[in-house]
Amino acid sequence: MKKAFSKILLSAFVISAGFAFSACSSDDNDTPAQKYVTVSINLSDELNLSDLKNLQLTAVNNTLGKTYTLTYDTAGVNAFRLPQGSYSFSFKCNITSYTLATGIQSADIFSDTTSVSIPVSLVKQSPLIFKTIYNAGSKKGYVRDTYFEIVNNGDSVEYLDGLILSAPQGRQSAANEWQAEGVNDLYSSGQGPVLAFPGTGKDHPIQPGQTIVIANNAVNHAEASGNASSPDLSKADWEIYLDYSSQEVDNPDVPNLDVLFTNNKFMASFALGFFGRAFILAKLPDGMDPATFAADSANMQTTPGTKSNIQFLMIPSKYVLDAVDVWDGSQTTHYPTFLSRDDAAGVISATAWSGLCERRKTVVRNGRTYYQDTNNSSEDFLTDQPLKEN
Amino acid sequence: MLLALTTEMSTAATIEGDTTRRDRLNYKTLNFLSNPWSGTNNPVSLSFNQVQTLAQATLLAHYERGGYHPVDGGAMQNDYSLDISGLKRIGNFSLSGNIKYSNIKDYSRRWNSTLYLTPLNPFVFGDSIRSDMTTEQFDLHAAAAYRFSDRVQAGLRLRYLTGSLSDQTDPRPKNNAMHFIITPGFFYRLSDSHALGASLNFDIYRSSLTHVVINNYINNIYFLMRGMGDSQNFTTNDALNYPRDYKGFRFGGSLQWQWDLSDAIGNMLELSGATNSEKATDGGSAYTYKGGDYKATTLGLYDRLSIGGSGRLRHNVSLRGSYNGDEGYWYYQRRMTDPDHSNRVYYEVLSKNKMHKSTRLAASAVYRLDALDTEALPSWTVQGGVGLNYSDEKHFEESTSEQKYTLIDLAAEGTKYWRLRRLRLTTTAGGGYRFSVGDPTFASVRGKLLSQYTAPAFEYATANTASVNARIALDIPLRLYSTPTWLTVFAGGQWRIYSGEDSNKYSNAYEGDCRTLINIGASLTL
Repeated sequence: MKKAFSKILLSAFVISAGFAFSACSSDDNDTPAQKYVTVSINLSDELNLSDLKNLQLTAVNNTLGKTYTLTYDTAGVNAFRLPQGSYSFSFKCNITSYTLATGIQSADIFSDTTSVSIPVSLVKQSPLIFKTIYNAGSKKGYVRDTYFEIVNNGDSVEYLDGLILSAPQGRQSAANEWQAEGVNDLYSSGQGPVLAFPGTGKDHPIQPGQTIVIANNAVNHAEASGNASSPDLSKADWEIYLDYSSQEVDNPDVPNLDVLFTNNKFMASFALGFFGRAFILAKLPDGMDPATFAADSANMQTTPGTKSNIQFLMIPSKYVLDAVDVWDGSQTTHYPTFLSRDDAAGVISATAWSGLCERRKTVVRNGRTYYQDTNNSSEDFLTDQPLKEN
Repeated sequence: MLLALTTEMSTAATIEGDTTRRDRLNYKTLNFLSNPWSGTNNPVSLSFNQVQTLAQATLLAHYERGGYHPVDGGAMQNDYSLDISGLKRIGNFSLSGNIKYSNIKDYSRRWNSTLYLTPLNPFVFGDSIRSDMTTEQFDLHAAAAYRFSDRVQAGLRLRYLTGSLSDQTDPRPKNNAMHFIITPGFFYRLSDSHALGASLNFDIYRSSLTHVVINNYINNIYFLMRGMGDSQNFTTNDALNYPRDYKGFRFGGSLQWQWDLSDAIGNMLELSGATNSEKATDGGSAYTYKGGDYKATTLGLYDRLSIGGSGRLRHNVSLRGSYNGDEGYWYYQRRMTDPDHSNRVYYEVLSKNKMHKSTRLAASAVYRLDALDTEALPSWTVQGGVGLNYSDEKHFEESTSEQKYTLIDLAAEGTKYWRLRRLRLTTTAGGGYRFSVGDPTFASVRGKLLSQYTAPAFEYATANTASVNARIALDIPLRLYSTPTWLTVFAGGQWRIYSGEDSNKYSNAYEGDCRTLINIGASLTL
């Protein structure tokens, strides 16, 4: 009996020891995971390392939602120890007082061997850019009162003739189908019309600092919607009129943009996107007619990876003057619609149906107001801005 | 077996010679006093019950009111339940079983849409919208012990707990969950004074949580909690109907040693251990997103010294100690699109890291004195105890966050059984006080949900709390179908008061609050 008792006690000890052992068997560290990352910059051909001034390097940990300001040393090795996570690195510097070079690069840092090379190029500051984008609307269900303001941010007269306005397809909460296929430098335009200013080249000048308003519908929306916060666009400079849409009203006093292309005539209005969308201004090279470009089947593609036969007009990145990604603030993940050289990161959309807009920040140089254009809408634009500029 | 147990009421009525069956009214007390195995995990303990045959149906209404409640609990609770249970002895078999239906409504509850998840598991899923949550649940158990001989006995207990939680406020969770627990046990008598027991415990846990959003104009946030208020968030615009499944498995074992020093003095020692793992997986059939792995190890000690034998005064000293160590692992994942499969979305695991670790130690000592009357039925009971709870929780993210505290619980309670002619009245009164010792350590993870969640949760866990409780029950003898029966009507309550000058340290969410718990019900015992 004593033997049996001893055996049972021994078994009890073994079982208890087994539990105790399993409690200590983890091979993971009881410390926060910090990793080393090496950062370098890869300058484009037009830049020299010696010309860079006011270097600014930031790392946004998208996992933690936290920004780290880092010091970049052009003469040394730039190794940093950061909490692990998915990062967006952003580099910015001055070439002269007014010209910038920027670059952005994403990296997942979960090991000590991560190297990040940020492609840095001169910011191409186009004279014609979006100043205001009003996509949020002012009344739920009222879809017609959106508009855009375009400003000549340059110092000489520009011409609107042939300027293309489009809202490229971008899912923004996931990589769109073209991006998933690795096509990043063509922007699939459609989901409704693609528009262009009429003219033969110098018919529609815009003076330095001048702003023009393009209304989706050039009417007094405060009256039409019964909502006092809706804008009066009856005196807009330009109007988008879709003659195939029964909901459209043509204001004869306001000239219309040309409809270059459409792949969905059921879209009642141009570029609907109360929660967010993406917009571009593009200009084709001299001698290339927008209508001819839009009619050329070589410039069209169907959605890759699907059986859809809907054609999209593909606008190359190299023709883009200004690109603005407007992201849905209620989504936690945003996939950029554009290459970082066109728009590094989107601005969060104004609150849907709030009657507020996204508007560029201003800078004053030599007594004139300019609009900030670093090809990074998250920095260049302010969101939830009143329609009337202060 | 279940069928036999659920027909307990009718069969029990035909075999009992006792005309009053007062022992059945007191079966919990009598079985505790007479059966040293009653507090153990071993299902063989059924064999040693003094009251072996019983049928009872209890209708209970439970209400909770007052602002002093866990941050992820309901502001009010209404709970209605019907419990039908029985004990039965057939030859060498001792049987027990019950079926309990509960309808529980939590009012204005948020932060937690899980059901039956291990309370210490940090990977809770919830939203921030206060909702009235209804839980319907069935809790069934069936157990049998078989006496092979005086030396050898074996037992088996099965328990099935299943419930469905839902609310009707966007985002509307619907959670179907269950535990299925199998507990086999074995008993071997070494000698007149020594007996050994062993039992195992297998617990399978499943939970399927989905959401429905009716008004998708309003964007709500899903909180994938990771401990201390830290969370990964998705919105209803990211994923309208967010699905999450939990799968868990707990395996444990216990060893018991009964040692009777004399007829009047006996000791029962139980050592137990268990491992528990729970994994959260999101996305349903569309994709897989890992919501966190949890694993825990538990060790326990229970010792009960009984003095009094068959005398009128019975002393029992119970000591309990436990250790719970757990870890939580988080997966860093990246959303991907697969162009080769219709741009299907999936998540790629980038890293798996330990994010949570905690150690909990608990110890308690309870002294209980029971006095029996001349018919060996309970006359009065007094008990008092002290408990110590230590908690140290760490969260590893950008840096290490640590919450640590030690609590002491004091409690005392007395029960008096009164005879009023043929009626019997039972009155109970008690009180307790919980307070923290030393300086608790508080931390939040980068201030996330600090005022809404993290600070009130810690305040609730560590605040000084006084409580008083009382219960009164009246037993009325009846004859139903020529069968002696007791109708018991009872009412009771507990009042928990958030108190102490040292409270309000971390949050003023409970300032001036209390919590009142009311039980009203009736039962039939035959």
